[in-house]
Amino acid sequence: MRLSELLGREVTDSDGTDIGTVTDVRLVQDGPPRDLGQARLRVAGLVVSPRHGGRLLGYDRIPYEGPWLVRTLVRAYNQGTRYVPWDWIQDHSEPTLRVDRPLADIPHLHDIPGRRAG
Amino acid sequence: MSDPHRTPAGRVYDAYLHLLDRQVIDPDGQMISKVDDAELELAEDGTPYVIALLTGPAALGPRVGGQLGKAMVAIQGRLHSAGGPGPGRIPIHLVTDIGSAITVSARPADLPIRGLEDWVRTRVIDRIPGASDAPQ
Repeated sequence: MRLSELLGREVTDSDGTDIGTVTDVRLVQDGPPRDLGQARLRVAGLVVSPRHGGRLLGYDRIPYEGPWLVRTLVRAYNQGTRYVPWDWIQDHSEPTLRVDRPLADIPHLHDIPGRRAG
Repeated sequence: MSDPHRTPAGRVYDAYLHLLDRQVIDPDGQMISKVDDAELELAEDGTPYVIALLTGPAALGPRVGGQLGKAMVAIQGRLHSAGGPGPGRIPIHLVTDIGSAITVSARPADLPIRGLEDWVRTRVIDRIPGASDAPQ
């Protein structure tokens, strides 16, 4: 499977309500090393947005950094962006990805902690 | 079931933001290619892991989509060298750093990622009279 096959996929909640499309794939470097390399990159979850807003210079992923005006605008623009852990997806082989719980139980992206890369 | 509110143990990257379209460089900083896509492999428990970075028209074409994307893949499919018609592939264990660029531990010549360039060199450039005397 290619990473790009996940990007742009439609996502619905357990009731069939449209959540948006996959705009990014969150990776966590905590997998068992392979061939003496570093820890492997695990697909931890999907960033799902009702808008196709692009990457917005990354401010949408690091909500507590950047000028306050940019933070405020980006946060308002991304109000509906959610984070779906990979194991909440019922069947990733379907064209539309269905989450195993209702929309109200799916967290907003800005509520998800993350250790900044780099 | 994972708890999305728990702070991850490892570094966090967003693939589109931190990987795709980034420059790949060797340990000396020489530019190798761009990251056009990534290959995922499902573990036994269903968790996908990134196992390779993909480069070249055969990787970028499907992302671009439409007639242009198909044309990119088709051209790469016809004009390739011994590396085969598929995308260039950089195994993830060669990646030593993910930053503003992606650093790998291999040299460009050791990676099978320049299929189209190799094809043009061996089938076109090398056949031009005087090519063998040209300085590198």
